[in-house]
Amino acid sequence: MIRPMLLMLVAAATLAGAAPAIRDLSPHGAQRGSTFTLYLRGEGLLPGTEIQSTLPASFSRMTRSKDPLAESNTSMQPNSVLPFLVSLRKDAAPGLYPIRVTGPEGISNVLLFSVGDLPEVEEVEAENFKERNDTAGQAQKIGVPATVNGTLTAADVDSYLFTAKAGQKLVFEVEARRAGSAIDPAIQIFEASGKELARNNDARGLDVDCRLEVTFPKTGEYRVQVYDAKYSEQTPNFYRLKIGSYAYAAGLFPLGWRRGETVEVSLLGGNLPQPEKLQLSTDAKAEFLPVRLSSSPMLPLLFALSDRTEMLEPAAGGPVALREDVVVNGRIGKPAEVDRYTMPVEPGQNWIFEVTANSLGTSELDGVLTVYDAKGEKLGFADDGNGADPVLPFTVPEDVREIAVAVEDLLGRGGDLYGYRLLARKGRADFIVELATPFVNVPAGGTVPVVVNVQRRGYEGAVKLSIPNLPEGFVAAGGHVPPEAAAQRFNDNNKGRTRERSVITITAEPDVKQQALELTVIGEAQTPDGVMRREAIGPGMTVPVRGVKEKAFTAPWLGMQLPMATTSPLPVTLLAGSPLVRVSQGFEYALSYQVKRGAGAGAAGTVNQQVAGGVSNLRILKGENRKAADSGSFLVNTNFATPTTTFDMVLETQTQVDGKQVTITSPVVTFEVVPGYRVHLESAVAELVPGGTVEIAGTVHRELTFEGGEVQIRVEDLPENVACPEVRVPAGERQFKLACEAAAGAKPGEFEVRIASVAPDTGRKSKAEYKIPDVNAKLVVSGAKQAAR
Amino acid sequence: MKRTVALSISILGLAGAAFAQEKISFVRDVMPILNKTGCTSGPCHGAAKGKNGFKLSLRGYDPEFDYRALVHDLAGRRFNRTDPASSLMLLKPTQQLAHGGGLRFEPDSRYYKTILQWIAEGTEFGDPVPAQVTKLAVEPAGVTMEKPGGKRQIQVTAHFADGATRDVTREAIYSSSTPTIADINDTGVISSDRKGETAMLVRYEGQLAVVDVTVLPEKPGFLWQPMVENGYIDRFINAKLERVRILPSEPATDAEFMRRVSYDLIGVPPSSEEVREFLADKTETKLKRSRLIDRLMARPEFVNHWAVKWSDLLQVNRNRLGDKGMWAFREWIRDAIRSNRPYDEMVRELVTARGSTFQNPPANFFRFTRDPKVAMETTTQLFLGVRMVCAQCHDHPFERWTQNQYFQLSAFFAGVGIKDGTDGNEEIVFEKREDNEIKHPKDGRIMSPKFLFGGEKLAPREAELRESLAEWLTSPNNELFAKAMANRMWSYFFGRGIIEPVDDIRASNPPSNPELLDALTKDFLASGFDLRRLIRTIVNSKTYQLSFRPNEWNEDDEINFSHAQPRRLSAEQLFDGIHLATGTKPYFKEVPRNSLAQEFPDPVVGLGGFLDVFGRPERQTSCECERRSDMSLVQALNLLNGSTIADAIADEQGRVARLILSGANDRQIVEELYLATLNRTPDGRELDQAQTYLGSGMNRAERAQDLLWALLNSNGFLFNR
Repeated sequence: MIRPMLLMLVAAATLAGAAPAIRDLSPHGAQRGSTFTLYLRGEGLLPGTEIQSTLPASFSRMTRSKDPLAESNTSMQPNSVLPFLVSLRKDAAPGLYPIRVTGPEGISNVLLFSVGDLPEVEEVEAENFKERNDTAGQAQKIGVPATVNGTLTAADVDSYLFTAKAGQKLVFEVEARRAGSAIDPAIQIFEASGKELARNNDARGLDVDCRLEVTFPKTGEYRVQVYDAKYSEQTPNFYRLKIGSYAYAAGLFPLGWRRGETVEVSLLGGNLPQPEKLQLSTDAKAEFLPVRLSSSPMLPLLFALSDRTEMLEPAAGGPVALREDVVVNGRIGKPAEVDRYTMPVEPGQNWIFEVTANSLGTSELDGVLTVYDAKGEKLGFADDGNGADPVLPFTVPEDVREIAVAVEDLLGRGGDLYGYRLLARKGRADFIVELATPFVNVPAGGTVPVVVNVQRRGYEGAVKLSIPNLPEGFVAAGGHVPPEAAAQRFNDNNKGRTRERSVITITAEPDVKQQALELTVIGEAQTPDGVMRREAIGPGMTVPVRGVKEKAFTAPWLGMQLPMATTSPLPVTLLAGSPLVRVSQGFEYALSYQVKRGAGAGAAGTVNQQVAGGVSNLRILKGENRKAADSGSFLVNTNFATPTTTFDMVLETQTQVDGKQVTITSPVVTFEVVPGYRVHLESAVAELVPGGTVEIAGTVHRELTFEGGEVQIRVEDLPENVACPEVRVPAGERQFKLACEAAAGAKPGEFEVRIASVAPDTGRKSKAEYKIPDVNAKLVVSGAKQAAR
Repeated sequence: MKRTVALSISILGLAGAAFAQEKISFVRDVMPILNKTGCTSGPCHGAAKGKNGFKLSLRGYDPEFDYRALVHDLAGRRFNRTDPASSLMLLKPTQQLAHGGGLRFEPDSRYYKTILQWIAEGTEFGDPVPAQVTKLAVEPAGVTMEKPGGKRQIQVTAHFADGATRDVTREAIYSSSTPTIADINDTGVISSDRKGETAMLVRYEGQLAVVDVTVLPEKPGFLWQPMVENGYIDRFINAKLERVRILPSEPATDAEFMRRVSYDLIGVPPSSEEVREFLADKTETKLKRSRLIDRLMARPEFVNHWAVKWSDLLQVNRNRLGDKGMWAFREWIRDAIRSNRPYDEMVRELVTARGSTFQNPPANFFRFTRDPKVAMETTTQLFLGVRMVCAQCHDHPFERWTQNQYFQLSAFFAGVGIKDGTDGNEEIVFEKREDNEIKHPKDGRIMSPKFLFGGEKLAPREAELRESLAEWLTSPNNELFAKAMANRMWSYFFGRGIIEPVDDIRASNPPSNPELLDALTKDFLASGFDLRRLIRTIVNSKTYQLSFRPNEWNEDDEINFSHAQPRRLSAEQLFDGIHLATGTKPYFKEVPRNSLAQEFPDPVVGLGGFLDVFGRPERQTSCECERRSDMSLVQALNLLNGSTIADAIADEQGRVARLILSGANDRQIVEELYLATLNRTPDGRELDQAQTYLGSGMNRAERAQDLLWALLNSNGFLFNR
C-alpha cells in the first residue's frame, strides 16, 4: 500500500500543528470593479491571519458576524471563517489568482479566485438545499449576461431559465476544474419544449471544462442545465457558469518563446472569425505567461517560456534544418501533414528529441516522433513520453551522418490548434523532478515530509534529491531514488515504469526562528557525461479528484516551488533509532523508534513505515512492541537478492494535539544495502613466466553486520597450463594469497581472469551460500625475454 | 483376411463414372470416409489432443494435416505398402486389431475397398483443386409430410470444382435440428414423428445444405381463415400459416394492444388517463392504433428504452469503459436513437472509430473488444448475426466459415492500438504503426485482411482497413447486415426471431418464414436502414396486434407468430412498471433524482438488487442471451415478500395513500388500481370482488394496498401479452 501512505504524507504537510488551511472560498469569483465580502473557510484561520494574493484588489479584514452558509446543507463544516472586504480593481484582468493566508502558525494552502467581467449570480440551491433547481420545472430564473456560482453534489443537476432573442448568440462556459474544483462539468441547452439545442462536455483548450456557443432560433425562454459528467461526488464541487456574448479563443501559436524577447502571438479558434494577433513581451521569471484575448472574460491561455533560442517553423515546404538546443515552434497545419527536419549527426552521439504540445494545454496535437536515416529507414520512434507528448532518447548508429526527424499527429489530425515545440539536445537520457507536496509548515523541533516524484525519461540510474537553499536551523534527510533496476516489481504492469516517488524530510531545530521562504528542490544524477542536475517544479496547489486513474488538479503555472514556513512546536515527535543504517545483503536490521510526547499530546496511534520508491526483495516486519505503545521496532529483512542500493524509510503515526488530529513523521532513515564482504586485490595485474609462480594477494573486508565466516576464493577463466589453487580465508582472518603456477607449456599472453569468492556458511538457517560479484583481474604470462627482464 | 489388391470394378462404380479412370485420391475419396465413419469427430481422433496418439483435424477441416498425420507420423507405420491389407489404417477400424473407437466399417465394405486401393496405389494426396466441393445439391430441397409417421429419401449430389458431380448420399453426414419432430438416418432417409417444422443439415466435405421439413397435423376439419392484412408482413404470415394449417388468433383488444405496444416501444405502461382516453377514442381501430404508435415513438422514453437495448449489446458498463466513457458512449447511443441515425451509419461510426473514448464515444467499441479477435467476433455477431468463435480453433462445424477466414477477418482489427489518454481513465484508439499484423496460430503465417464473402476491394493504406471493412459490412450487397438487424428487431416484438437465436444466423438454423425475413430485409434496405420505419412497420402489422389467447389450431405454435407470446417484463420494465403503478420514485445516488430504471446507464446502478434478480445483464458480452427473461423461485419470493413491492405499495406519497386521502370511493380505487397495473378497467366480476374486499374491514388503506399487491403479483402485470 504505497500510494495511500504517501498521500497521507502529502496531507501531513498541511495538517501539522495549528497551521491555517483554507477549505473553501465564498464566492469563488467576482466581477472586476466590484466590492464584496470574501469568506475564507477552513481551520486555523486566526484573527492575525493575513491574505497573500496577486489579486489586483484591496483586502480589509472584517469581524465575523454570521457565516452566510451556516445554515446550509454544505458537507463542509469548517471550524473557522474569516471574512474580508475585497475591492477588485476595475482594470483587473480576467483570470485566476492564488489566495493564501499567512499567520503566526505558518502558511495555508492556495485556492484560486476567479476574476470575471459579467454580473455575478448565486445558485439558490447552493445557499439553501431545499430550493431545488434539478428539473425543468424547478429551474432558477436568471438574467443574462451573468456568471452563476453554483455547486454540484453527486447526481445533482442544476437548471437555469433565461430569455434569449431570436438570432442572439450566447456563449455558455463553465469554469470548474481550471479553477480548482474537482467536478467535471457538462452543459446542455434546451428549448422551452424540452428539445435539446446543444450540449458540451469537454471543450478545446479547457481541460475537462465545457463551453459552447448557441444562436437562438426564436425569442423566448430557454434552459441551461449543468451537471457533473460522471455524476460523481467530489470536493470541492463548485462551478462558475458564464453566459454572455463574448469572443473566445481555443488555442494560440506559437506555444512559447524565449524569455525576455518580444514575439507576435496569434490567439486562434473558438469563435474568433480570424486569429487575434498581439505582440507579447516575455519578460518574466515564471515558466508560463498568461495570454489574454482583448475585451473577453475568457480565462487567459498559458504561453510557455524557455531560456533557449527559439525559431518558427518556416512557412515554405520542404525539410527544415534542426539545430541543437534550438526550440522549433511548428504546427501540423492540416490533416495527415508530417513536418520533417533534417540534422547532421555523428555515429555514437546521444540525442534527446522532445515535442511539447499537449501537455501545455494549448495544443490538440497527440504527437508522434520518428527518426529516419538519409535512406528513409526508420531508426527510432516515440509516442507518449511526457503525457501525450513524445520524448525520444536516440543513439546515432554506425555509418549514419544525417537524420530526419518527423513530427505528426498520431491520429493524422491537423489544423490551427496543432502547434508544437520541438527540441533536439545532446544527452543520453533524462529525468524530471516534480514536487507532490505544494508547501510545508515545519514545527520548531519537528519534522515534515516533502514528497517528490521523479519522472524518468530514459535515465535509469539513481537520483539524489536535495534542498540547496535550506536555511540554517533546518536539516533535510532522505531524497534517495534507487536505480530503476532496484525497483520492486509487483507484476508486469509496472515493468519499465517511468515515475518514482521519493521523500525528503525537513527537521527544524527546537529554537529555530520564525520565518517563511520558498525552497528549491533539485535532483542530481551521476552519468558518464557528468552530473545531471534538474530543478523541481512545484504543483502550486493540489486538489485530489475522485475516480479511477483521476489525476489530482495542480497549478504548476503559478510558478511556485516549495513555500515553507515555521510553526509553533508540537508536543510530540517521532524518532527513529538511527538516521543511517548500513546492512549487509541477506541480513536483518532492527530499527527502533520512539514517540516522545509532552503536555497536550494524546496517545500515538500505530506507527507505520514506508520505503520510498519501493525496493525489491525487501521485507519489513513489525518488530517487538514494548509495553509502552510509544516505542517499538521494525525488522528490515534483506536477502541475498536484495539490490545493493541506498533507500529511504519514513515512519509516521497519528495522534491528537489539543484535541486535533495531527500526523507526526520521523526524519528519513537512510538504508545502505551493501555486500556482506568485499574482496580487494593488492594489484589487479599478476605476472608470471612459463614454469614460474606468482602470488595474487588480497584482503577480505567483512561488514560488521555480516555474520558469515569462512570465505573461499578461487580464480576463474585461467589460461591453459596455469593453476591457482583455491584458498580459504577463515573467520577472523582477512589476508589471502592465491599461489599461481604456470607450467612450462603455458602460452604467453594477457588473460582476463575473475577472482570468484563464496561464503559457504553465512550463519543463516537456510545454510545457503553467499556470493558477491566476481572481481576482475589480469594475468600476464610473459615470454622468456620478458621474464629475463 | 482379404488381400484384394486388384482394382475392383465395384469400387470404381462407387466412385462415380466421372472418376472411373482416376486413381483414388485422399482428398476426394478417403477424407469423406474418415468424416462419415466418425474418425474425425470430436469424441474420436478429431479431439483437441486426438486419441491414443493419433490426431486428425476436427471434422476433417484440414485435409493436409490429416494426410500428414496418416502418412508421415510414426514414420509411416500406419501403412503397409507391400501388404496394404495389413495396414493399421485398415486393421484398426475393422477391429482386426483392438480399436477404442470400435468397428467403423466391415472388411468387405466399400469404404474398406476404397482405402485398400488407395494404399495399394501409393497413398496419393491427389489434386485438391479439382477435388474441391463447390456445391451440394439436395433433392428434394424441402419436404412436406401430410401427417406424422411418414418417411422420405433424399438424394445428395456433390458438385466439384472441375465441373464433375457425384452422388454422395451415402457419404454425406446428416443431422436434424429437432429430431423429436423428424429425424434422418445415415443413408438420408427422413422419418417424421410428430407435427411441426424442422430442418435437416446435410454436410459433405466443407459444404452444407439444408432441407426444410414440415410435418402437417393429422387433425381433420381445418378451414383456413386468414387474418385481415395490413401490409406484406401479414401477407407472408398468412401464407405460412395456411401452408402449415394453423389459424391465427383474434386481434388483441385495444387495452391489450395499448399495454403491449407501450411496453414494447417505450418500456413503460400507459398511465390511467392515457388508457381511459385511448379506450374512449372512437376513431377507426387501425388509424387509432397507428396514431398511438406515432405518439409513443416521439416520447423521450422511446429513447430511454431503446438505449437500454443498444447499451446491452455494446456493453455499456463503467467497469469496462470507465465512468466518463460509459456516460459518453451512452449519450452517443441515445443521440443515434433520438435522431434516428441510419443503422449503417451508426455501425460505420463504431467500426471505424478512433481517437479519444471521451471525445469520440464510438471509440469505446474498442475499449470493450480490445483484442482484434474479440473485435472481429463481436462485429460479426452483432452486425451480421454470425458467430465466428468456433472458427478460431478449426473450420466452423456447422457453417462455411474456415479458420483462415477467422484470422483474415480479424486482420482488419490487428492494427487497432489503445493507449491511455490524459483525462482520467480516457483511452485513445489509434492505428498502430508496428506490431499491427495477426498470425495464423497453426503455421505463423501473417494473415492478410480479407472479407468473409463478396469481392469488394481493400483500401490501399493500412490506416483505412477498418474503413474498407465498414464499407463491406454495411453495403446493401451484404445481405446479412440488413437481415441480421431486421431479424433482431422482429424478435424484440415477438419474443423470438424469424431466425432464433437472432445472433446465430447459419445455414443449419434456417428462418421459420424465409419469405417474410427477405421482405423485411428488402424493406429495411430500401428505407436506407431506417430503424424507426422498421419498428413502425412491424408494430402496425396485424400480426403484431394478434391476441395472446390461442385457438385450437395454434395453441402449440411457437414459431409462426400466429398469436402473441406472453413475455415476462424485463427487469427495467418491471421495476419502472411497479413504481409507476404505485406512484413512487425510488432514489439511486448514481443518477439524477426521478430517473427511471430505463435511464440507468449501466448495471452498477442498483447493483445486486431487484434489477439483477430479474435478469438485467452485466453487459459482459454482446449476446442477447445475457439478458435473462426466465422466471425463478428467487424472483417469485422477491415479488411476494421483497422490499421493492412492499415499500412501494405502502409509500406515504404513493398511489394508494393519495387515493385514500383524496376521498375516492371503493369503485374509483379499484378502477384506478386496475388501470395503473393491468392498464385496463376491471370486468364486472373483478370489480365486485375487489369492492367487497375493500369494504369488508376497518383498515381500508391496508386493504387497498393488498389489492395493489395482488395485482402486481398477477400474470397480467408481470407479463407483456
